[in-house]
Amino acid sequence: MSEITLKNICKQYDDEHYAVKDFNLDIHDKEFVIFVGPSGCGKSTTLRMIAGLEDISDGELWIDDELCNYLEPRDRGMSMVFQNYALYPNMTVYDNMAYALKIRKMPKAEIDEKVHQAAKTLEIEHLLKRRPGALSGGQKQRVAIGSAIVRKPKAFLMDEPLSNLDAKLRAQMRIELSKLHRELGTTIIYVTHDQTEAMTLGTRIVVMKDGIVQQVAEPQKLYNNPANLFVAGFVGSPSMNFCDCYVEREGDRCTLRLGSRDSERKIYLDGVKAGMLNMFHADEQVTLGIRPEDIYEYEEAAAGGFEKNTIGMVKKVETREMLGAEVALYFEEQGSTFGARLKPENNTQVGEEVALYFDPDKIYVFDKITEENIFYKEGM
Amino acid sequence: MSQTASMTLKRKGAMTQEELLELKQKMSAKALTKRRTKTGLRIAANVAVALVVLLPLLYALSIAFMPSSELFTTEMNLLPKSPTLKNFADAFTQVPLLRFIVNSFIMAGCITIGQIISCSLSAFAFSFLEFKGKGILFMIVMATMMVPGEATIISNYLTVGNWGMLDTYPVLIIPYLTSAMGIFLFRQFYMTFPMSLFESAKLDGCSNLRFIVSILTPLTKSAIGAMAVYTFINAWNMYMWPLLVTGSDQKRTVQIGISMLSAVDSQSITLMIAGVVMIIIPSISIFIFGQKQLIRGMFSGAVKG
Repeated sequence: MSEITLKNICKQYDDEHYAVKDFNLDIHDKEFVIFVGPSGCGKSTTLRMIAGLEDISDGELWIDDELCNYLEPRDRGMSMVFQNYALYPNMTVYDNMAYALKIRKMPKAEIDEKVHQAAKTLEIEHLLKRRPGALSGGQKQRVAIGSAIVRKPKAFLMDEPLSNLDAKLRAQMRIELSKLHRELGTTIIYVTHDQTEAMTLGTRIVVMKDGIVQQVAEPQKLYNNPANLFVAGFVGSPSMNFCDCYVEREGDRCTLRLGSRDSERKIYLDGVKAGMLNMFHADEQVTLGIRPEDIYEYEEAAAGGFEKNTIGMVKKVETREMLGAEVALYFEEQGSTFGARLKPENNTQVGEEVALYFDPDKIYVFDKITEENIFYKEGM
Repeated sequence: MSQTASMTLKRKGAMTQEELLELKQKMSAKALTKRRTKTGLRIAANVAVALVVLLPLLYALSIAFMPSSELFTTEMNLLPKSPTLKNFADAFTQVPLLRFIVNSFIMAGCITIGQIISCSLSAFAFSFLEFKGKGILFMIVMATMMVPGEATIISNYLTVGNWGMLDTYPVLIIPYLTSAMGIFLFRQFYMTFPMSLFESAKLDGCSNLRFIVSILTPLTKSAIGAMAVYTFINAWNMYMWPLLVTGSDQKRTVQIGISMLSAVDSQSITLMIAGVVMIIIPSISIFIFGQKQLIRGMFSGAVKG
C-alpha cells in the first residue's frame, strides 16, 4: 500500500521564479501516473522532490500518512530509474542490483534470491556477471529497472527512462513497462516529455507547463476533453490544428466564421455547444481547434451527414506524407500549418487543391484570452 | 547487372594474372620502402633529441663511476677510464644517507597519502554537495595556488617554531597534507561523473563516505594514480622547507643530505653526484611506472570521452 499526496508543493530557486507552483495531487496505490510537459515545465523537479533529491520550498508531501518533507531520500522507500541508467560501472550487474540490499544489511541468501527473481522477471539472468560497460542500452535499462525492483519500494520514480533508447526499442520497452506494472502492482510515477509514452503507459496523466499543472486526467479524457489550448495542442500526434474564428449568432444556431468576420468559410453548430457560444461569446473572436483525424473529404463528410454543416475549405497542399495506412496533407491557414489525416486513397499531390470538411462534433473552441476550453466538462 | 559484371571481367582480362601480381608487388614494395624511410627518420630524430636532453643525466651517471682524480683533469673525460663503485660506498659512510632516504620516504609517503585523502574528500564536497558559499570557497582554495610557497615560509616557520615542533616528522608532513592543485585535479575528474550516480546511491541508502569509498574511489583510480605520482615526486624533491625545519641527521631528508655531501668535502664532486644518482632512482622509477596514469589523469576532463 502506498498513497502519495502532494499538497501545494512549490519549488522556488529565487524570490520571483517558481519552478513548480501549487502542485496538488493524490496518487493512489498501484497507479501509473505520468508527469508530462515540455522541457523546463517542472515535471522532473517535482519527481525529484518526491524522491528527496530536491528540497521542497513550500507545501506538504505525504507518503502513507507520514509527512516526508524533511525525510532523507533513503528513508522514503522510493526507488528511482534515471535517464542515463546510473549504474555503477565498477560493479557487475549482480552487485548493482544487490547494492541497495547490501547497504540495508540483508542476509546474503535473501539478497541472492531477490536478485535472481528480479533478473528472471526482466530476462537478464544471463547478464548478471557482466559489467554495465558491456551491455547495450536496452539491457542497461533493464538492469536499472531491476535494481529498482529488488528493493520492493513503495513507489517507482522514473525520470525519462526510455529517452536514451532508439525508437524501436522504446516501443518494445513501453509494452514491457506496462506489463511490469501489472505484474508488480506497484505505484509508478513516470516523467516524460513524449506524449505518446504518456498516453500509452499512464493510468492518469498530469500535464504541466511552466511549473503549473494544466490538467490531471485519464488518457482518453485528456484527449477528448482537454482543459485548455495547451493541453489540446500537447496531447495527440500530429497535434491539434488551431485557427481564429468569429462567433455569429443565428437564432438557436451558431456560425463560426474562419479567419475574418465576413469570411465565407463557415461551420454551423447546434445544440448545447451553440447555446454556450451564443450566450457567452457572441460576436467575439475565439480559437478553433480541430484534430487532423477529424478533417474529412466530401464523401466521408456526406456519409457522416455533416457536409452541410461545414463549408469545405479549399486549400493548396504544401506537403504530402504517405504513411501507408493513411496520408497526411499539410496546408497553410492563417499563417500556421494545418494537418489533415486522410484515407490513403486520396491522391492529391503537392500544389493541387483539395476541399476539406471539419466534423462539427469534434470541434474545440477556446477562449481567446484565457485559452480555456469553452466546452470543457468539469469532472468528466 | 550481368552486363556490368561481364564488362569488368573483360577489362580485367586485358591483363594476365601474372602481370597483375607483379604490379601489385611493385606497388606494395614501393609503399613499404616509403613507410620504412619515414619511420627510420622519425626514430633518428627522436634519438638525437633524446640524447641532447639526457646528456646531463648520462654524464652525471658516468661521473658517479669515476674516481675523483679522473674528473679534475684538463682532458675531456666523458666516460670513466677505470670505473669504480667507491663513490657510492663513500656516500653512505660520509653521511647517514640511508637514514635520509628512509626519512624522505616517510615524509613523501605520508604527504602523498594525506593529500589523496584530504583532496578527494574536499573535491567530493566541491563537486557533489550543495552548500552556501560553495563557489566562493572554491575560488579561495584556487586562489591559494597563486601564492608562492616561499612567501609564507617564514611565518610558517615561526608558527611551528612556537609550537615546538621543529625537527620532527610532523613538521615535515603536516603543512603539506593538502594542496589546491590536488583538489582541483580531483574536482575536474569528479565533474565528469554523472550526478545521477550519486543520487542513485543516495536513494539506495548510501552515505557520502560509503559512496566515496565503494564507488568513487574505484572509478577514479587513474586520477589517484596521477595525483600520487605527482605528489610523491614533489614531496621527494622538497628542499627549502626541510632545510629550514630540520636540524639533526635523524630527521633530515635526502635532498639536504646530498648538499651535505658537498659541504663535508667540497672537493669530492664525484661523491655528491653518486649520491644524486642514487636518490633520483625512486623518483624516476615512480615516474616510469606511473607515467601512463599521470598522463591519463592530467588530461581527464580536458576532453570528453
